[in-house]
This record gives sequence, C-alpha cells and structure tokens, in this order.
Amino acid sequence: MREFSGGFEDSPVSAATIGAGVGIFLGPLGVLGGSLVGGAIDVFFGAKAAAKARKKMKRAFVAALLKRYDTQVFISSLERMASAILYLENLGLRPGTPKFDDYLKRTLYSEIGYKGNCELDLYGPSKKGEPRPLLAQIDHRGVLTAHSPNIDLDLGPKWNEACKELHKAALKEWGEEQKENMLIERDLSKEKQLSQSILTTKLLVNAGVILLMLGYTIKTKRKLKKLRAARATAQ
Amino acid sequence: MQQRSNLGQAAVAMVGVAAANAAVNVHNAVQIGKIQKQQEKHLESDAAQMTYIRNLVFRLETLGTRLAKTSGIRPGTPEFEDLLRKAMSPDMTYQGNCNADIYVPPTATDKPGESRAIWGKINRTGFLEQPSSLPPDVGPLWATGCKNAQDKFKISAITALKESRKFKHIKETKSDIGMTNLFVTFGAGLFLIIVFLLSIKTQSAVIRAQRPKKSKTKPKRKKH
Repeated sequence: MREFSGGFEDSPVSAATIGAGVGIFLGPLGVLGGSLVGGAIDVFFGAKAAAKARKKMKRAFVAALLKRYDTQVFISSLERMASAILYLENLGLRPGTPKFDDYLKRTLYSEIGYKGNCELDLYGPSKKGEPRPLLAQIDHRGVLTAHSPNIDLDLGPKWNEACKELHKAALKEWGEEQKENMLIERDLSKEKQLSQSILTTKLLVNAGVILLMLGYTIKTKRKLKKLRAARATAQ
Repeated sequence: MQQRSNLGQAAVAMVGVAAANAAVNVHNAVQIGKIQKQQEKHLESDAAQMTYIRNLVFRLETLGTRLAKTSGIRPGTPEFEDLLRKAMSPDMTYQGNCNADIYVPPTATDKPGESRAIWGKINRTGFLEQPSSLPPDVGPLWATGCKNAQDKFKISAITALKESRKFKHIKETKSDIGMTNLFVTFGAGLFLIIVFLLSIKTQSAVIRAQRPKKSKTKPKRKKH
C-alpha cells in the first residue's frame, strides 16, 4: 500500500508493526489488538491514498483534454495563417515583403492575433460580444509566454519555425507562378518575332516581284512610246 | 511461551491486514480499470465527433468551390452565403460568416424529411455554445475549416479570373499576329495584281502597236 501513501503512510514502518510493538507491552491479546488497529489505520490510509490517486488520474485526464484543446487552437491558428498567405499571394502580393506582412497582419489580427513578423497573441474562442481569452504570446524569436496553465511551452519554437517556413514556401510558390507567367510571355514574344520575320520575308519577296514587274512595265512603256513615235514619223 | 503467543497473534494480525490491503488493492484496480475504460470511450467518442466535423468542413469546401466556379456569384457576398446555406441545409443551419448550428449525424432510423436535433452551435471564433455533447475542440476545427474554405472559394474565383485573363491575352496576341499577317498578305497581293494588270495592259498596247496598220479603205469588190 505504500505506493499510494502520503503523510502517516510515508513512514518506513507500517502502522500494523508499530501497533504490534505497542501491543507487546499491553498483555494478552495486546499484540493482536495493536496489530489490528495499526493494520486498520494502514488500510484506511491506503484506501484514502488510492482514492486520491484516482482523483489525480481524473484531473490529469481533464488537463490532457484542456491541453489538447489549446493545441487545437494553436494548430487552427497555423492553418489559418497558411490559408491567408495563399489568399494574399493569389491577390498578387509578393510574400516576404513588409507590405505582404502588413496585409497578413490586417487579415489575421482579429482572427488569431497575428501581430506581424511572426509574433502572435494566441486567443481562444469566446461567446459573441465577449472578449476572447488570451492563451499565450509568442514573440518573433519563438519565445512563448503562457497565459493558460494548459499551454504546451514547446509551441513557441514550433510556431516560429512553421511561420518562417510558411513565408518561405509562399515566396517559392510566388516565384514559380511568376516564372510560369514569364515563360508564357516569352513564348508569345517568340511567336510574335517569328511571325514578324515571316511577314518581313513575305513582304520582301512580294516587293521584289512587284519591283521586277514594275521595271518590266516601265521598260515596255518606253518601248511603246518609241514605237508610237516611230509610227508618227512614218506617217 | 508468551513470546510464542505474541508471534502467533502478530501472524494472525498480519494475515488479516494483508487480506484487507489486498481487498483495497483489488477494489482500486477495478476502479482504475473503470476510469480508464471511461476515458478510452471518451477519447473514441471525441475522435468520432471531430472526424464528423472534419467531414462537414470538407463537404462545405467541395460544395463551395464548385459553386464559386460555376455559379458566377462572387464568394464572400450575401448571395453566395445564401447559396452555401441552401447547399449545407441537410446537415446544418448555416447562418453565414461561419456561424452554424450543426445537426446530429443522420442515423439509419431517420425518416426522410424529418428534422434533426441541433448537436452544437458554433460561432465564427470557434466557440461552442454550452450545453453540448460535442467536445469543445470541434469549435476551432469548424471555425478554422470554414474560414479556410472561404479563402479557397475566393482563391478559386481569382484563379478562374486570372486564367480567363491569361487565355484572353494569349488569344488577343495570336489574333493580332493573324490579323497583321492577313492585312500584309492582302495588301501585297492586291498591289501585285494591280502591277500585273498594268503590265499586261502595257504589253497588250505594245503588241497592238507592233502590228502592221490595216488600211482604212475597204477592199474593192471584184466585178463579174
């Protein structure tokens, strides 16, 4: 029973032994009586300690549930941030710039308490019209100041790392989109250049043919003029 | 003799105390077992309820994205929220702006058209109104999922707009190239035809001029 003990039961000698020891000096049936009384005390304290341990176990379960809830709030904040970054990026803002972080702060401050530069005031949910409970504060270095007893202190560095990774991933994705747009523009420009060169060739060939024909026509006209002049002199 | 009697008494007492302790231990073990079972059941039930809410969020996301792409209504507007409310009406009363009264999951014994009881009322911040049999964790799950879904609707609308602009730009550029080509070909062709006709005309005139001139007097008829 010692494993559940507290107070009296913490003694290395059980109450039954002490009772038996005292009983030796009490005459007949003293040892039995003393042992039984001591034993009863042992059993009583043992049962009490067991009940206390059960209560502690229940409290630990409730604390684990509360911790799970706070962690869920934290995960939700991260998920919101990822989604908001994607949305702003789709609006055409470049991630990693102060302007982008400012927009992110404006979008997320009322929702998850994002203060920019990866700083966060983590708020829990609340009834409409009531202030939201502050669960924790995380600064830009990832240092967490807990305002709830159930918040996991490891969440600070985790938040910091995830926040930076999200920004990096967004910048990478933005770069890829820009690259894709540039490739499309490059293809279009190539197509334009090719078409212009075909047109120029076509124009030059046509101009050559036209010039040749014009030259021939001018030559024929001169011939005609000469013929007419000759005929006129002959008459 | 006295010592032997004391030892006997102590042994009897120790056996009694040990038996009582064993009984307490057994009782405690049974109680702990019960508590553990209860906790396990609690966790299982929580997990099932959270999965149900996640599925609802997924359903909202899928339906909303489809509506954003096909309805032509801009996400985030009251008209779009109304469409969402109708689309989600079998599973919840969606009040817009991620406030929802979620119905209890359907069961096999439910009759069609029968209204379902409200399981939990969750607001935009993720607060689950009490009393509710749902674990409070479903609040942030729903609120975040719903807000992320709304971002996705907007993103899909923006993407569709961007794609259509890109397509229009490519189409216009290609059409410009085609039109320039057509005008140049037509202009050069026309000019070529004109020069060709001019050349033929001049050539014909030369041919006519080179022919010996016919006398204008009529040939005399032979007299018989």
